[in-house]
Amino acid sequence: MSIATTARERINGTLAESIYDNPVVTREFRTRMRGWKAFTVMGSYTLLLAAFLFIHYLSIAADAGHSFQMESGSLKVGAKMFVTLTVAQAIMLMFIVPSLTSGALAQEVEKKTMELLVLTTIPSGKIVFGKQFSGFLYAMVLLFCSAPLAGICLMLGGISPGEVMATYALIAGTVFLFAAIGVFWSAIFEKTAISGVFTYGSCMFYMFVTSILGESAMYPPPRSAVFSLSLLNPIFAAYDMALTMTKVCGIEFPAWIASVATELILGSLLLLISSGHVRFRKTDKTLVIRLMLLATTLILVWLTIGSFPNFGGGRWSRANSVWEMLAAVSSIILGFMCIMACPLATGEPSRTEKSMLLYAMSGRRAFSKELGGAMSFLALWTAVVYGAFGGTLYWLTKVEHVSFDPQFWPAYLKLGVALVMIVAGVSAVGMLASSIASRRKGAAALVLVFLAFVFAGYTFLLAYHQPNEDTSAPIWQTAALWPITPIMAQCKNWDRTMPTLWWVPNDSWLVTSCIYVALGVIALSIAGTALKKFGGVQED
Amino acid sequence: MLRIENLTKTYGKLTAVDNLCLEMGAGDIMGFIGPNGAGKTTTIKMITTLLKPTSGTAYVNGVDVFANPEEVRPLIGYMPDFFGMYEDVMVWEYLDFFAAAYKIPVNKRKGTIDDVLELTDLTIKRDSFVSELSRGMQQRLCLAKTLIHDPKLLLLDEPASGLDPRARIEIKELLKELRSMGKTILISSHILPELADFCNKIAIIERGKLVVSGDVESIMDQCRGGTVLKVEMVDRQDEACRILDNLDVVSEVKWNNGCVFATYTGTPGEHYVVLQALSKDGFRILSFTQAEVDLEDIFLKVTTGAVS
Repeated sequence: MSIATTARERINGTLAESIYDNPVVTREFRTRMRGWKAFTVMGSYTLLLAAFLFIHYLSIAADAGHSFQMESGSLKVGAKMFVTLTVAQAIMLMFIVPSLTSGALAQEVEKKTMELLVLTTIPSGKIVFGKQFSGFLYAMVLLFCSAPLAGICLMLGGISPGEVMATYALIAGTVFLFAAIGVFWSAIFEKTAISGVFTYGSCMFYMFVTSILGESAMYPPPRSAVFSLSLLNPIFAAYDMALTMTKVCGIEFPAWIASVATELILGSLLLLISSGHVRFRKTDKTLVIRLMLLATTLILVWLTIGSFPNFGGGRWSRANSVWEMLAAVSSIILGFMCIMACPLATGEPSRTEKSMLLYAMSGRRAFSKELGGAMSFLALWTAVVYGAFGGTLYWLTKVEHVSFDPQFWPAYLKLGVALVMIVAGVSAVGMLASSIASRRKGAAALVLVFLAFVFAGYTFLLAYHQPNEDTSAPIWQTAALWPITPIMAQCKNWDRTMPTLWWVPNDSWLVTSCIYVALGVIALSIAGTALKKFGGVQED
Repeated sequence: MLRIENLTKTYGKLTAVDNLCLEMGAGDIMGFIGPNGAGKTTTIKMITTLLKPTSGTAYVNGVDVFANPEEVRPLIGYMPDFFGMYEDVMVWEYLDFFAAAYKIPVNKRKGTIDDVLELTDLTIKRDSFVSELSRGMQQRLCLAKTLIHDPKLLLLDEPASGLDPRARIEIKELLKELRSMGKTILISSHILPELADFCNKIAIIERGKLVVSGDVESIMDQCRGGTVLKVEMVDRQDEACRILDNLDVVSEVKWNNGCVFATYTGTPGEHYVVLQALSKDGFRILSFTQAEVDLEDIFLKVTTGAVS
């Protein structure tokens, strides 16, 4: 038997086992489906959907007047009603799914059943997957309940079975992700109330952000493809987009596949991270998690930037300006990396290392659990993501023949250096916070306070800035501390909005880099002393 | 079966368990005694892989608990002092869940569940909901769950706490049965009489430190300086005390509730001389026995009460 066959059998066995012989799934589902509750929810869910559809049907009929019966085919009544069905279903599931899994692990802790569960021989991954899958499965039952209503829409015309299937797949993908988000927060927080708030918050945030992406594709001028992540929000699938194609770096495929795959990958990543919080483990899975994080981000960058020519025209036409694009992407990368520094650059610092500076500079720890690898990993991550962004743009110039301003690439490189340095500096602050706070969450909160300070300071001063006045006040010279400064300068936004500086804004990438390197060195120099004085983070 | 080496757990500046060393052979029943907050639960949780120690390690059946937690889990059965139950499942479903969780093959699960239900006397409750069981029954169900994968080492943390006397006796009987089955059991408690007639070894812990450990008899002799004899008499107890006090082999005599307690320090197995001394003077003796192990006395003697 070849190695490949053995490996495939092993994977198949594990996956199948995780579903068929997973005691967590069995117990959760047994509990969930017992009694009148589950069936009441299913009944009310279907009845509500039916009521929405019925009201919509009546309103269409009223609008069409006497000609309704004659022209119902051309009115595409089915398509219109399917929009109502999808929107109602997506919104209802957004409220139902978090309630199914947001207490998954936290509830076990609160009810004191967690100890007994983790002492068994079920692997942590199977526990986490079981919790997520049972929630997902129940939501699938609900989705299945609505199938007859989708059938009515099909019969009324204007929508194809393929579109219905694609829309259902998109809803299922979102449900999978939401169930994973619930399990993730319930693994992080030991209280169901807190994990519930975070789950609902995350799901709503997701729906909000993805609705912006969806809207970008909703009112298109005639075009061959849409933005590849437009369908992350399943609501938009119903607006005649379920089967639209997308084109990423010249490769064409259905947009719904990109969205479902993205949601499945994100959900699995969250489950993988959650499994590390179930019990203390000797085997370090950091390498797998970090590689998967890198791969996911790369895929997202590729899907986002690669389909950038699809933006052409419509509301997103401004993004055609490559400078705006650079500003937008750099800001997203910067913001994301800084937020990621909160969980990644906090933890238990080594108490045996002589120099925190050397400890933090260690590149070989980048893919290990140790705190010393956080800075190198985050800097590497930023470099790789930013590099992928540049790489995809370069590919586009070749494949899609998009032309760029000749000044673009030098500015891109300068900004890249600044981004890496800022992220490294913020991670150093994270290590200092880990040397002060006694709990990891406390350290993460300190980093958040620092980030709020550096980002909000900029906004605060900008609010008081009058563009016509000569505002070369000394306080403006601290602009280098604000992480957005190099982005504004390189993307040619400085002249319009910002005051005079005694250093040239074009060189702000260098000044900001130096400031953050200095900040990092100072933070790491005092981290050792702080660790001795405060004791630092201690994990159980 | 269980070897603990220099186990230490600190929470910030508080040392919950301090350099603990302990050893148990196969078939031993060890009473793990200490006042509330002494570090019993922390120690047990570390052995069960629930907590990571600050330093030191433990071996169960020769397997390092912290290097190979996955290998240790099937070897141990742990019953916590406070535990929750999945209340919305039936008794057999509850056990079926744990049987599956311990990877007992599907075709053997039913038999195993029936066996543990019979052992814990819960067969009649097989199809009842867990929420309908009384506290004592839930305790027994938890014990049934603990036994389902036939562990070699049982770690029971205050198994009889919060139970009424009848349930307490039932649990005790159950533990005795387990002893006869040859299980190695570490049982923690702060209520001493609970363990008295049950353990062959004891370990006393206070403020995270092991105060004393070893065979119950030897520790008792060590602390008392001899075997205590109990003489139940109809009357003239004070007179008997005077007579016994004059004997060379008796170091201490006291009486209460009609019984005279004499600490015998002579050659082991020859304490009949005490009875001979009493019978000569025509005392009306009802019974003459070796006093039951009174752990309470030992406990008070070796601990300083620093925690409480």
